[in-house]
Amino acid sequence: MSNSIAFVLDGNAVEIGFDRSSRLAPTTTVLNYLRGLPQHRGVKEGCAEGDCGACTVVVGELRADKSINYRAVDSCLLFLPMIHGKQLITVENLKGSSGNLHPVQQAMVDFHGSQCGFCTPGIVMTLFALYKGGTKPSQDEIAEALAGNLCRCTGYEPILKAAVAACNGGGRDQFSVDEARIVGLLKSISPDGISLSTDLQRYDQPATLDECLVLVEKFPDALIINGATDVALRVTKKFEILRHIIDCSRIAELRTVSSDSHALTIGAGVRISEVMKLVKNDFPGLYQMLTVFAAQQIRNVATLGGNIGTASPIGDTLPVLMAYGAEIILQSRRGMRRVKAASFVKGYRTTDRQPDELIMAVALPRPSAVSRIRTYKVSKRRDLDIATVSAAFRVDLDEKGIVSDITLAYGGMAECTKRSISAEAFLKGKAWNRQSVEGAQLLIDMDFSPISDVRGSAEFRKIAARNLLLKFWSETTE
Amino acid sequence: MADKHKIIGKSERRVDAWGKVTGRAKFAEDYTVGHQLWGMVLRAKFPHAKILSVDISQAASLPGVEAVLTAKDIPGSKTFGIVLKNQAILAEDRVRYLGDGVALVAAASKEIAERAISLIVVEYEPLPVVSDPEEAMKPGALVIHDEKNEFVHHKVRKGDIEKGFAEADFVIERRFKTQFIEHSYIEPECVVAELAEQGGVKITGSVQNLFSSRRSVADALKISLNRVQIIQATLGGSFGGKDEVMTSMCCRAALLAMKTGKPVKMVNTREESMLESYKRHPYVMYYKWGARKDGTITAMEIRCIADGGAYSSMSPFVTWRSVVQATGPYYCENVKTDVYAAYTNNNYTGAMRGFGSPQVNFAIESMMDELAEHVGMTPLEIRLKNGFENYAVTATGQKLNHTVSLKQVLREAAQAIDFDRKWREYRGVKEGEKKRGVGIACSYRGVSLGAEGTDAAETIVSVQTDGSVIVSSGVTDMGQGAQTQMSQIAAEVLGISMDRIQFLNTNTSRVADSGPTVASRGTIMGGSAAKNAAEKVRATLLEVGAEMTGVEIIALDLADNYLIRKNSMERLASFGELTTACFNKGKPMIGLGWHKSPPTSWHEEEGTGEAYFTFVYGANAAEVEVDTGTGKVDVVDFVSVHDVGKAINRGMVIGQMCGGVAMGLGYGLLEDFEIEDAIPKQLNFDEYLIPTSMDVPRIKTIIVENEDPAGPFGAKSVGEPTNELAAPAIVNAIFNATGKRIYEIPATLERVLLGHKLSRSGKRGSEQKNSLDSMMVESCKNRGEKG
Repeated sequence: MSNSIAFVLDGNAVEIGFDRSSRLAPTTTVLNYLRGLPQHRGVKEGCAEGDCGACTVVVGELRADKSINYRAVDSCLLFLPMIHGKQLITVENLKGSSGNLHPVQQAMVDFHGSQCGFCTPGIVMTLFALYKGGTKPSQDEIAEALAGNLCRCTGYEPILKAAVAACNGGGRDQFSVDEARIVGLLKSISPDGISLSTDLQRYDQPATLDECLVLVEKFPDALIINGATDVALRVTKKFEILRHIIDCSRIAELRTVSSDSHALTIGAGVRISEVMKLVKNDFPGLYQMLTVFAAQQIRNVATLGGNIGTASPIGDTLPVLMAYGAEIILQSRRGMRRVKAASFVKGYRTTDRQPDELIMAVALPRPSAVSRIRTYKVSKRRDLDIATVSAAFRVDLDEKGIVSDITLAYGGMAECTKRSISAEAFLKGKAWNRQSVEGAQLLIDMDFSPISDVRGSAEFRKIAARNLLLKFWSETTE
Repeated sequence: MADKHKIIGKSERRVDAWGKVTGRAKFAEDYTVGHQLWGMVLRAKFPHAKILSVDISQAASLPGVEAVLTAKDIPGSKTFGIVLKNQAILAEDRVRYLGDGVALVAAASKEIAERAISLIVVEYEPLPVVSDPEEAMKPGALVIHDEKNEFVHHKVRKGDIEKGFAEADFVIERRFKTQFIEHSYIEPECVVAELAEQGGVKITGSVQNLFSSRRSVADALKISLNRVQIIQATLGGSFGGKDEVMTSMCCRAALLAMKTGKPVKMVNTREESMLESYKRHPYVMYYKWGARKDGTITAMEIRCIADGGAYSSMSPFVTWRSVVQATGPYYCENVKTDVYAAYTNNNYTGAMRGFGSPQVNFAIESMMDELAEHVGMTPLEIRLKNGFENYAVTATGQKLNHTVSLKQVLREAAQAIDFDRKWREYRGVKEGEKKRGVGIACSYRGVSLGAEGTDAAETIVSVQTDGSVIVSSGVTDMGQGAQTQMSQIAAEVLGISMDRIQFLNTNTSRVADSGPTVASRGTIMGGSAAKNAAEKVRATLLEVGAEMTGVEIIALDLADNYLIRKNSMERLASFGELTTACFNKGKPMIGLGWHKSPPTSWHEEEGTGEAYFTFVYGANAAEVEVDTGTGKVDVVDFVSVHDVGKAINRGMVIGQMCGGVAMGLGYGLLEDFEIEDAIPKQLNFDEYLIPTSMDVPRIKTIIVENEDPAGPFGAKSVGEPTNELAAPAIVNAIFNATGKRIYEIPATLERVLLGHKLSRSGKRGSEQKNSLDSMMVESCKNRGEKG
């Protein structure tokens, strides 16, 4: 096991060793690492919690076909070992060798996309990743990609214009020319797992599932991470020293996806942005919810397993998985087991996962033709905002229009994501009409006693929860 | 008409754009000085408390700590303030809000500084808090400073208010409320202070108003102004927000640097920034209008109370703009306006883009729509009926002697969004989960400081022997593009291309005190000074050119980097040859441009005066879609129209318009810096929500240009007017969609939804009873109907 990490920066391989006297900790963020380098101070800190995007950098990663995939990520939420084996690209790297601006930089200049300029390096990097995506994005896709970059000066309009002009679908630039060399450098980095130890911390990044399960079993108190977009806040905001981290982001088995006529099974380590592509056609309810899951830079790092594992009371994906009747697949050295999403969450940020288990995958049964599924997120802001109330509903109707089965799952209404059991029981066996739904609306109140907080009052939450059911009915009957 | 300008009016690339897109631009935090220490502030534990003792002994003895300071270590003035000098650099005997600093640490690293801060022991005696300005103004309220909490009362008086109401057919009386707004510049505050070679300090930082910060640092250190040099780092947004909060940071870093003899850097985290920095004032506004059935307004009685928070800051000026503009651009013979500001233990409130206008515009423009509703006119008709025209006399008795383009901008906005047709169509829709609505709002706005204070600025244009030019100014660039605008003006006058110009960041020791860069005065003041400076240089160059070529001055011109013969366009010498000749002849190569604004006046007691030397006019129109199930409002279309006099740079003007709309949309729908019992409830962007690219619709911008002789090339202002109309336009659109008026912004999900069931029976506003809405004053009486 190596006690160092390696990655590519400025076109060269960089190795950083960790030992007892290291200046850098394994939980040093990529942002803080870069700002410590005099030649990489273009990256900015605006919030240190993934809400503003001023720290956006691009991470290049080897694909199976040996090309490089470029992802925009928030460097403030990225622990340094998470770029091991990858290419780190910052705004300073975008200018061509002759000093000419990259097409996205040039467009930002030409269209007045920069005013005060503090958010600009982050925006340039988001646009760079979009440019490297290689397809011509639509206006909506551009706005969506930029939703994780706050700009207080421009109103975004000039930036959107710059993006339209620059991201013409070619994707060719000096990085394309240099790509083969970078691929070589990345391939030369050892594929073995790493284990970093300093005075205060240990950080394991196993390369195989077996290694990982051994570690998980041996260190039940260690924190298991994948994208760590939630865990990172404990470091950047609560200043916790995380003693032992097991980072399972490199395990191939967690990235696997399998599909048959009954179910789509998605590895727990598949990133949300990838999940979106997988579920877009067959699971539109899940897709819909994921489009408003944080912002792109977070979705490019956060994983499905991570979102389930943190078991937030609002939990963007959990109510949806409940509605789809999904199963969570857990693996330990003892064996594998499957748990219904609805019974996986046990309480406030607690789950059914045992200390030696790893969340391996989520199995999504394909909905039958009689199922109607919708998901809703009520939040003040469309993107990058935590829901006040979220909901995922499924209703199965028989040929007479009678409710044969129903799931009404809510987030933000209790200490954990939860179903409205009374309303479900009331509706089962009844005709799916306005009268039944109005009756069920009253019962929702009995199942929940939400709290008032900064996102919304208890009263508002109850009304929204009731209205969402009515909305569901009206959307599934018209 | 052929364009008479080569550079003015074009969308020239910004002079700072290259540095910003490449990451080269150096913001304050990007400055690192060898051996710098890390400075940190211990802030108050309670929003209101007596400080009984401060024990720094443990912190001071921690290895790596080089200084621990409290208020008693300040050699000079312990307080500062632009109007009332009552803001503590460090609290001495009492903390008045949660952002107050109590002690300072300078240490070898951030970690040591943090540790030292935690070792300072402060003994407090907590005091009750005052967090409601109306409560604060009541007799017997706990007093936060020495005298009563009410520290500002401005008034405007015109005609006879009693007579006005007597002439009315009906009276509309409403209470409006606005929220605290955080500026949300993406760059948190930062300075680096170091000792200057010949004594005093040099400070590089994210400072908006360098000269006022300099004055306070000099006072605190008890040294003269020439020994305090403040250099503006590239500023990552300000919007009025990097004034007092930066003054206090400059003072603190300077104190630590003087004490330790070493450079000291201070950086706020976002949480520290939101906790300590000042906000836009929340207002409570009581509007009472009397009107006739034909829509004529006979009387306006207005009372506004601003929450000043813990310190006076800019409140006296902010509220003065409110009092001048509180009646809007509408004719009314009888006016009585009173605007107050009161101290509370909330975050202090000060300058923010709009400066007292966003609040009153929300009230005025809502009232205008209510008036329309009462008399059966459309929102556009009522505004066209009552709106100012040329030579109108304002509520303060000022006759408007410039082109009053209010109706022009209104019509442009209405036409672009197809207002009247949509307004009628949407109004009739009773059913549906998603309802659409359109709204319109307009304003007039006094340009620059007005009778607030001395209004003058300097810009320097310095020509080099190779024909390149250096421009610098006391007017600062915080992202709005002042440097580009002044460069364009200099280039136009000198007949050179933009690439010849290098603009220097403002340095207080190298340019004259030009007042603060506020009040949208950058172009009209700094730009006029730039024009003046460049014209001086131009005159010298033409004189030299005449000597050089033997051609009469009157026949010469400067164009396209050449000295030319005006009639034939014949190139007589390159600009570089000309400047070299100028140097060789020993002629001055520099133009010191100075611009002083035309006179204004104010009579505080009578509440009248020539408040501003000119005004600008703007109109916004919004189309919204309201989800009646969740209360979510989406702005689906937006038109912004502003008469800017003359657009020096069209791209930058459009940038200001779009940015202003986005910020105004946040004001109307999303943003709310909630403070409960003097404790802020959110300190970062996860809970303080500003609009993202997904919240802002595509914005149609229409620039209207009625050139004004008061500004350079006819240019006036654009920064602030763009930010004062979106909220009322949106709120008016929500009314058009739902039939429900919002009296308190932001129009959050709850305010829009509560009381509205997903109703298919079409009874509008049938259930409007709830705690939030009970705050509304429902005292509209229709005397016409009664009689």
